[in-house]
Amino acid sequence: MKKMIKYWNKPSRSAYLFLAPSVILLILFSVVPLIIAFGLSLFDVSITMDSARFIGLENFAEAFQDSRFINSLKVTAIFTGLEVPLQVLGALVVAALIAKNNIKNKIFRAVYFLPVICSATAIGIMWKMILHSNIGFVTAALQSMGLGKINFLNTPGLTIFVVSFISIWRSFGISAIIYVTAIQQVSASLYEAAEMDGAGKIRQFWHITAPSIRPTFWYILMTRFAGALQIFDIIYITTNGGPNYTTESTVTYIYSRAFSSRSSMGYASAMSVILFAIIMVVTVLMYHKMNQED
Amino acid sequence: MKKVNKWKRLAALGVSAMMIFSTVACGSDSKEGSKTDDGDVKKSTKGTTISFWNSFTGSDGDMLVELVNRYNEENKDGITVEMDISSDFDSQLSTAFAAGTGPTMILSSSAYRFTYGDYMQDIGDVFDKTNLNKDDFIQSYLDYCSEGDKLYFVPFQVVGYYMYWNKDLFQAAGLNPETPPSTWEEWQSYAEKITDEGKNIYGSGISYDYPYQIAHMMQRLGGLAVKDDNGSWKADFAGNTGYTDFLTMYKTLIDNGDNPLEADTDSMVSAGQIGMTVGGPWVTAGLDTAGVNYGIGLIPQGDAGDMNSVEVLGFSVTTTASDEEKEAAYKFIEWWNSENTEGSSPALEWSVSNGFPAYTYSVQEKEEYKQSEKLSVMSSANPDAPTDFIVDSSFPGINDILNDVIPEMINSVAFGNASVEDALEKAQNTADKIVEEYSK
Amino acid sequence: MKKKKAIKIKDVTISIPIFIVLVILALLVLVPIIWMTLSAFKPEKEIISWPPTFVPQSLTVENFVDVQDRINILRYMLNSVIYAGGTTLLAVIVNSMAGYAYAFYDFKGKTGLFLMTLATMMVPFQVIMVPLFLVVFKLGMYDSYWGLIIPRVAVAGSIFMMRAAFSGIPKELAEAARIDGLSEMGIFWRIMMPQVKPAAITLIILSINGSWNDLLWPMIVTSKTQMRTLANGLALFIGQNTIEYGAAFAGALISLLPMFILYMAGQKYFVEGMASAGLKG
Repeated sequence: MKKMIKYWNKPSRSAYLFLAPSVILLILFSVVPLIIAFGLSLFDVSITMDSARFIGLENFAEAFQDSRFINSLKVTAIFTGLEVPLQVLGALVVAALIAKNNIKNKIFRAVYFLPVICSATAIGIMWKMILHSNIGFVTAALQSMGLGKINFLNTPGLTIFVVSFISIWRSFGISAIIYVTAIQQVSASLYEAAEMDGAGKIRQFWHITAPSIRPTFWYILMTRFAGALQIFDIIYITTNGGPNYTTESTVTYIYSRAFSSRSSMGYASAMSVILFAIIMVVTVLMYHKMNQED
Repeated sequence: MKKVNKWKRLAALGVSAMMIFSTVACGSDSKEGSKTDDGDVKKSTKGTTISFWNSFTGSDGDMLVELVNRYNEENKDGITVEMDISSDFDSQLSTAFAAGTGPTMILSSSAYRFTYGDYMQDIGDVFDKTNLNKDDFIQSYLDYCSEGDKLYFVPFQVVGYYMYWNKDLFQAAGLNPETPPSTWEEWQSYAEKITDEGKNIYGSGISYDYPYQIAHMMQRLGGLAVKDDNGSWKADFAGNTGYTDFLTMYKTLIDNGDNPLEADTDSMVSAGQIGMTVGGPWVTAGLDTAGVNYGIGLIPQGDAGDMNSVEVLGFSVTTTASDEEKEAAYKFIEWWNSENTEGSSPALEWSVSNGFPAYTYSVQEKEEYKQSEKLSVMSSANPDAPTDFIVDSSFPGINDILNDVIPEMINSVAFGNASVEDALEKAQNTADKIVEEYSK
Repeated sequence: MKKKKAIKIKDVTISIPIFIVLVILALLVLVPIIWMTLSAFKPEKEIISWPPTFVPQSLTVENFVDVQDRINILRYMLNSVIYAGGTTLLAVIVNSMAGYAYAFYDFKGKTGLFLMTLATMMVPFQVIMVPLFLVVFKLGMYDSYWGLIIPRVAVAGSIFMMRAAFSGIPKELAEAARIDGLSEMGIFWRIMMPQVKPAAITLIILSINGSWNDLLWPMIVTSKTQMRTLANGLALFIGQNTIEYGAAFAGALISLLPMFILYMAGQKYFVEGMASAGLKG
């Protein structure tokens, strides 16, 4: 009996040991700064943190009346709507097609992974040059094919799609490779059994692959979601929010508020809290769904 | 067996705990280490090391590295300048200041005093403590660097914007390649002639995403956007006829296809696809590498009259610097502006090779300076013309006007969702709010 | 490997349309990168020219010489290796342990802790940057490799990823090992980690890659030039007012190469990881 109790206690106790390093590090370097940042949202304070003045919820009231902030939420929503499905489902389909280990697939995987390992800055200026309305070679090539002159980076309404494309282009490879590793972990004997039952490729995918990699699916969905809502660097380098603010995402706007000369760290923090609340609500909903499935 | 497990787990806990503590300990160790280093230095009077931050990425930063290295080798006071060029200067500076640390000396736009002024020392005594002669410095540039009787910067570089025109394109359009436009009407009519749709050539190159460029042109027609109105700030957008003219002109150029709807017009200038543009001295670097046959001149004047709008960059010493470090920084600044036996100074070299107009009379007098065609054009501006850039030079909200008001205004006009009047009306509202904030 | 062939899934030849789709995707990725690669060998004048060129009309290695002349590549690369290597080594251990705990154990506060972990990835870095810097500074880690590495070790996304990987392993495996008398740490290290090798390799590559290309953090947490990483060095070619395209592209290629080699080496292990997983199942 005693043995049994010990036996059952051990794993739960060691869980905390396994978690201790990450939890300590996260609290120290993520949670504490996060709490400080959230506290700042109640102050009128500059980025260098001198002369803070408590102003309560004024920053939040201002945010909801700030048309640029509202616009940035819209831009972020469009961006997320484009990026997340493509990354989560598109990458899964591609991953399923290149999951098997043969030379051809390995080449595909290496190619798709290339943008991931390029620096964001290099990718940004590369695309800026390629898609330039005048001296970009893609623009010139399309024009010479008689497709007319497309101003990829300076057309309100179009540019958001172009930026989304660049962002997906850049990180599609990560999602696909993570899916591939998950698919490869699915036990081969499951497929063998299905094969014997005469299940086709597509049925195998739906009935064996898809359920087996569910945790990875949730991982990709939730991280992509949080990532898409915080899109910053690609926009910052390629369009910096233009033309006419049609690609100004929330974080791009937050950044410009935090670092302008009227540097308003408090206001930037308040907008982050709102963004945080939105992401958190959706994530908690997803988390519950995920746990139900597990 | 179980005991072993327990120990193992304890060990794991110990390792992770140690990891945390060792980092803390190591950190403070290194701190103490550097302290004793300082002590050693003082004892042996080897000299002072000062840190120097700036954002001079790009090719001119390269020259800065060279000059700083030269100083470190040449100077006899044993001073070492440790320079760090940052690709994200603002982040680096603001986080450091927030923690109460930071470099000894920074190099930045004089407008930085509006953001980081609390962290900058008054360096007015630089002229007493060194051989620098205050009278040699052009007064209007010193004014840029001062607030009241406090001097925050010693000028380093004066950035004016100029007009560049492509002589080959002028020739092809049947215009005289030696006479650039002198009025904005001419700018428009030349642009129309130069534009060649088939070749993707545009007469005028004004970017909707380049507020500095817009501001330098705009103020030629409509004057300053924020003025000192009997001791209080006043924004002047709505009903400003000069601004109305400028925006109408810009809109017309775009609608007629004489100006591209493009954020990055600089690349097109280098590629020889733009007839006329306005930009800083660095534009010539791109034109030179590309081998474009170009001319450089002053931006056409408009109804607002003669002006020579500039931005002044300067050295400043932060509050984290000790007296000793401050003195060392002074020595470096002195060296920068001092002539060697051949009569050359780093300031002169910098000015000549990067094409920035001089801020001292002595450099302007130098033969090398006078010989440079580019510099002589830049210095040809009326010396008495006002040098304020877009707002009164002591208005602290210059960056807000440049980052918030002008971009919104120009974008809404360029992309046609507001009339020129509406755009100016809206700009007035935003500017009024900014003005109010700084009037408190 | 042989064994895998024996139990191989019937090798249905990928139908032509699928292959074409994969090739188009590959071209979409490759064409811009090839353009960048070729441009690194073009003179600056040709990169910005009209009409634009794809294949260089004149080849030059000037851009690479320029990069080599202007930055201390070796020193910067060493820093990058220390930063990326240190972060990754600790990250794999710490994040795998956490991921394993969330996937395999039931304990009080699990949901709370996991949500806390998730919450940390929902605030833009730009906002917590200053407070985080203050913490690092107060701990005396400013201007040290420790300050560079330690705060970047625990990453919510990586914990989540490892959790997903461990969730795929049948719990019976742990039970069996326990009956065999293995300690919890032993189970994790000897039984479980080998099972998630592909995911661990992915984590390694992503972690190395993340620090390798990280611009902002090394910039603010260190103040000395000797502490700069390769990414920081290469950013110098992108000036405030002008961009040196040739040098920037050449620099991008130089920093891409080690990552690519690493990836190719890593891919070999994906295969092994799969083979062993296949055998176990």
